[in-house]
Amino acid sequence: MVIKRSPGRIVFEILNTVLMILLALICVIPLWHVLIASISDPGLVELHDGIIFWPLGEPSLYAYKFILRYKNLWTGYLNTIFYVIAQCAITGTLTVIAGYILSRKRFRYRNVLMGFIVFTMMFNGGMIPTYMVVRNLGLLDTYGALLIPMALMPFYIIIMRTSISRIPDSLEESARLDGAGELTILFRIVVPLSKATLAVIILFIAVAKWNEWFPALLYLPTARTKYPLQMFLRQILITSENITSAADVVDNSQLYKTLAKYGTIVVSTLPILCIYPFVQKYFVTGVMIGSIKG
Amino acid sequence: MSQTNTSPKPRLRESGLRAFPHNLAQDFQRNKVIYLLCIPIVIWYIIFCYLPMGGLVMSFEQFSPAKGIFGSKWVGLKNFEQFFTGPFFFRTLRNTAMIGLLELLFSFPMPILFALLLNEVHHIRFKKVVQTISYMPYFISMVVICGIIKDFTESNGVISNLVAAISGGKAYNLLGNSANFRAIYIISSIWQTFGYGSIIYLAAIAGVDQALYEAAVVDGAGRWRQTVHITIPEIMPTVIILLILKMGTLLAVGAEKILLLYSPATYETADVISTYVYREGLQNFNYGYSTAVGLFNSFINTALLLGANFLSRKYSETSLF
Amino acid sequence: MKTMSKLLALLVGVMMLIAVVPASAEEMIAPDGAELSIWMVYQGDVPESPDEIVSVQKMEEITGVKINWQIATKNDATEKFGLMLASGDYPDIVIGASTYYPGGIDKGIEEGVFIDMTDLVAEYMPNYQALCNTNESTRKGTLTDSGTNAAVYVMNGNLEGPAREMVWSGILVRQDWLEKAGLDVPVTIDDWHTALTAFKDQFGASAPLMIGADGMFTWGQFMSAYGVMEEFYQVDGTVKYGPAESGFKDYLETMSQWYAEGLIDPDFMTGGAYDGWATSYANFGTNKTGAMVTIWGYSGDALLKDYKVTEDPDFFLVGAHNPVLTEGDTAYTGYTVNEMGSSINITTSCKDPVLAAKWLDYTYSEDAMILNSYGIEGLTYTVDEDGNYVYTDLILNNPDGYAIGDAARLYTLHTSAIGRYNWQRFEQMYNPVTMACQYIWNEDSTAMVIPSTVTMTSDEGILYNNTYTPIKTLVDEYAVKVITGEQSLDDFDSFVQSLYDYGLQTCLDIKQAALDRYNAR
Repeated sequence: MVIKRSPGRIVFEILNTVLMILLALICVIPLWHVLIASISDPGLVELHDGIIFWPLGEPSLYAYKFILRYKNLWTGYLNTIFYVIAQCAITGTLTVIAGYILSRKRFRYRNVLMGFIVFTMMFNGGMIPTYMVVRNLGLLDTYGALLIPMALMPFYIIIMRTSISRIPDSLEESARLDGAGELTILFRIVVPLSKATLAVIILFIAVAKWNEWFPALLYLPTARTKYPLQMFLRQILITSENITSAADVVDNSQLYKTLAKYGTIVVSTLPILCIYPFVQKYFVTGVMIGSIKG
Repeated sequence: MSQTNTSPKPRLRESGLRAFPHNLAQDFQRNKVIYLLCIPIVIWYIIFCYLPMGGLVMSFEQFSPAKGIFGSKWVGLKNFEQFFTGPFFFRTLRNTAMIGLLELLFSFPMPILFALLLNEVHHIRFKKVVQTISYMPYFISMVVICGIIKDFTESNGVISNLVAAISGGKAYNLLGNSANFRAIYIISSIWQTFGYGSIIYLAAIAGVDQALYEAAVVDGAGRWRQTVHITIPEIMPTVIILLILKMGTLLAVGAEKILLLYSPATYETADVISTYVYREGLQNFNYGYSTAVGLFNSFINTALLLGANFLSRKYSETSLF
Repeated sequence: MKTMSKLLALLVGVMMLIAVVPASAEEMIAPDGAELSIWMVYQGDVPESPDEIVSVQKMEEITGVKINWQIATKNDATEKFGLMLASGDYPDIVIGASTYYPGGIDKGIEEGVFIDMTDLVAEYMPNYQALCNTNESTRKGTLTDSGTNAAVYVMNGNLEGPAREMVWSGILVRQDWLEKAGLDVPVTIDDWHTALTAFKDQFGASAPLMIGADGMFTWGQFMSAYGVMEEFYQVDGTVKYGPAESGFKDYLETMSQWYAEGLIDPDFMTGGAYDGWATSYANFGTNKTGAMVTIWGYSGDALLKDYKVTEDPDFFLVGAHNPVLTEGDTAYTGYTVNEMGSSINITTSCKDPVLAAKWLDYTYSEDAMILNSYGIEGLTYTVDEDGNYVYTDLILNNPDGYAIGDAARLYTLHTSAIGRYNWQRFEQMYNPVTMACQYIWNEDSTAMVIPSTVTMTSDEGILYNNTYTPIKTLVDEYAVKVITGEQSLDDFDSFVQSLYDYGLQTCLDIKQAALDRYNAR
């Protein structure tokens, strides 16, 4: 099916392409700057105004050597990978279930449940009460402390529900006629049709989990072996930025530590950017619905 | 107990609190599995959200961590009073509302526009590359981004010079002027989030039934009409839901970015509730006070959310509840 | 191979020393072994926990007490402290409550978290008591308003005893530029005007003088010439607030004048000189600036030789006194650091307070100070013929490539958070040229400073904190706007009136009461 392209359309496509290239440049340049700065000479980096396109001075991997001196960094990587996978599994499953329940029109009180959930988005007891709950459950210093208290996020549930609601009711009805039970409908029909949204949510969970450090600060008071990557990186970052007294400026190691802030971005960002290609295939138009007719 | 209405199943039609237990039981009968699936979810919310919510009581206390929530001194509305009668209350509220509104008007639509435009790109490889690159700003830490912004807007910075060239004036420190603060904040906000924020819309677009497009083509509709009459209406539910949610976070302008960008020179437009409370809190670790302020924010945000939800119920098919 | 065998020999020597030299009976506090848990703010990168430090292990060996360190980095300290209190799981000893406890230490004792240590100090802490009575400032600083030793404090000092650390931040100015322009180091405000103008005209400096984002300087530089400080200060026992005095108006007038002439950093309002010490020297390197308030570590030719951020071979920074109005006036500084550091408290959860007190007293002993600041004799330091303590190459030229500061942190506790903090140990880490500026700054008078050990009662504290934020907000905004010319000084009187409307008198009264109590200790 060839669609004739009008001249207007061609102009639009050219402009659009140019725009996309510009946008891509605006987005990639800062990351490039960070990458190059991390291998440049630190003194020159501080002096330099503007974006760094090419390494200043002698390129060196000092920042990375400094970061990798943390033997525990690798523990952090492993922990984070575990947390990401576990959280995606737990939250993903629960979110699908919640989204499904909330989208069933037969469920008389679904709006009540929705309100119940949304209310928790708006009102929040704060750091100390949540900490007390987690502590009293005996979860402190466990892996569970980083997985269970954030097992459900209202935002994802809402997205899931919205997406599932778009599946035509006729599908469910015909399945019921064929004798399918609730769970069959959920897993055999709804889930496959919501793959795009599920992929999005899993991506969001993964990214959020990858970047997360605050719960570790709260819930892992002494279990440093369970720290996620960002906790270690943050420690490096903070100590490189905080000069608490003249004692910390004893030598120019301080200088190299300021490069650490660039290095930590590279170390923590590249892996997560690599996940994207795997999730990307779900975003290509037309892969899903196909020829589902009522 | 004279029933004038003798329709076949009167009890099913009754609603309201008195009939609730019965209706619940009936619904349960019909949807057993759903209710069973509900249970873990509800329990989780009770334990991890509603139980800690009891901590909101701190807003009414002179909270001391050592004494705990139930042992701290009760001071009634004193924390709120302190908040409302502060000399800068109106200013911080105004700034918070302004930034929230600007975010809504400018930052919110950008990911949608970007998703729609990206959808028009046919070359798959190019599309994927652009997509991936567009996420990158989201991952760069705020500290670095604000460092870059400060660098660019200094009196000899790249952007300052650009602005001077366009407006014909002399280059000056843009970020030091309260008139420019909001613009800088919003523009950098857009830059940071348009890529990552478009993911949801791209997924929604991907979920549109291809058959609709095919039918449209048969009817002779060009790409533009397809977009306007199919794509946009189909992703509208997603847009509306996200819009309602956005209204529910309107006043939640976070302190992190502003703290890195603002300065006494720009307090006039940049000092928002969260940054002001941060400065106050820094000196006294006053949890009761900051909880009270948070509670105030929650009330306003909830009102906005309900309002938005009500409007969307009235004028569209989608709503949160 | 050679260094390996050298190292091995050293280690063996040390081990022999340790084995041969018995721990003195006094220092062995718990012959049967004991444990104490301590909460402390600690840097946490190199190394991650004090457990790994050799000198800490030695300390445990000498005293027989094993320490469980619960550390928090400075950024997380507030949250972690709050959580520790809320959970009720107190360690035996807490360091830093004076900073982090809501309401102050008195509140902590009142609420049953800390114990009042007065009796323990009197009976079990002779080292500490001796230190307290070395001079009036130390004596007053360690007492509470009621004259008791409810908590103990970290003692800052040098090898001789408690002493205020030398002023470590002040004005640094380009000496090479001054020389080329034929000027001396500026003393009066007018001298500075001449010098800054020369920097601009002769050397093309676009930001001859850097100032803070609030239009002021950290420790009252330039302002003290007009008799005021940035916030609260005292004149012979009477508390005053700088921005409410007429001297502040004169200060702002001078600054706005200088700004209009291009003598002040045009970007000062977005972070200026205090956007992190690490980046502020950049402007020196690019010849944009001739003078700014910064740390002593950058003075002399450090920026040229060590940091290599400039290519000007004549580059040299020298310290300058705080400016005065007329020649002969006393220069004042607002430097607030004194002999007392963080508070150290024993909590009510401690099962053996006597043990804790004895252990703490050990950290105030001379031996402990040497151990924590210099390390282990033979391994990390040696004593030369004059009795000076000299670091070995393990620290100064670490074979694993650690910089001096990091190496010191690896082998010694090296932190200002415990016992006796010996700041004299830095002397050998720097070249004397860099240290010279500290002596200059040290000469400025601190008579206007309100001692940092003045305490408010917890009620006063609450009232003060509620009232002061809007005042500070207004002051900072006003100062910046006047300097940039956005606002004129004609409304100075109404500005002062606003300060009083916001409750300035309340704050003054509170501070005055606190100072009076301090003086009466």
